[in-house]
Amino acid sequence: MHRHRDSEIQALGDDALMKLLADESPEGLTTAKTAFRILFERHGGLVLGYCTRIVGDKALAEDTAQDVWMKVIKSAKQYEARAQLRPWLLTLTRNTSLNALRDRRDWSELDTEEAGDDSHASTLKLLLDKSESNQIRIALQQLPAPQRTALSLFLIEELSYEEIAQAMALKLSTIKTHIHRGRLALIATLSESGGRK
Amino acid sequence: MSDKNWFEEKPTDGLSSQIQRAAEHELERRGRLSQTERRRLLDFAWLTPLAFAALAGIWFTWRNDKTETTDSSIADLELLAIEVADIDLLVDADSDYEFFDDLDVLEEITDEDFNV
Repeated sequence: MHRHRDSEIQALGDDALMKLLADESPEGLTTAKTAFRILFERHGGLVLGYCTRIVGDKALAEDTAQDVWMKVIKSAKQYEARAQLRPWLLTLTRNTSLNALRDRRDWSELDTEEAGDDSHASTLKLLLDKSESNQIRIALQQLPAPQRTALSLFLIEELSYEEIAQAMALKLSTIKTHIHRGRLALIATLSESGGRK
Repeated sequence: MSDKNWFEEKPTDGLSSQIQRAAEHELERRGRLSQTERRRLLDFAWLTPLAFAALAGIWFTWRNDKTETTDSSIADLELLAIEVADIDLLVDADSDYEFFDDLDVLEEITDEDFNV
């Protein structure tokens, strides 16, 4: 019977699972645990991957991912079904990762030279389309922390420059610089690895 | 893009079980907490009718003590004021200001100074 219940829960959508997770009654504990397991199976990769893209460090990313999932449990009650889980989860992951980075005071060398134009955007998009996911991950990993974070927010969550500046608590011109430099570096790495293939 | 979610990264088995364990612990803790809160609420539930009765009693007493202002009560008050004023005048007329005699500073004051 328990197995049957599990499969029933497995068939539910994200919003319904979040509702089960929000149930704090003792009767709902087993169901909440199952709901969490399914949510983690579905979105565990998204959260960990996004954490890694932002914080860079594997160990810190794993700790941050765990923090994110604990926050999912704690704020399940506040989750509104109409908000959709994926963007909500991405926002939660981004904020937690940025806080983790801030706690670590990872970025120190922040220069504010003017950013170049966006002409490299299409080149980068073309390269991203052609490249293997592993190549992109490695290329992104090689960038300095602020560039990697800014570029990840730009590429993954498609935030605007202003939104990224707000999220990272940095000046708009600094964000533009980081994204510009990050793009150039990413293009260089991806073109190089593409040429080697 | 070759892989739609190129930034996704499958957690290792070790990390997955670690997060699952932490989540189960958190869910159990949350359940215990809500149970304690519920019990605490029940413990004090009997106070509600008592508090209500006390408030009702206070209100009832206050309501009964409050003097109603009617036309007749205003008339009574006016009559009382007139009577008090009359008595004052009577006292003033009879006293003949004898009590002022002991006060040197007021020696020069005559009856004319008091326009009674």
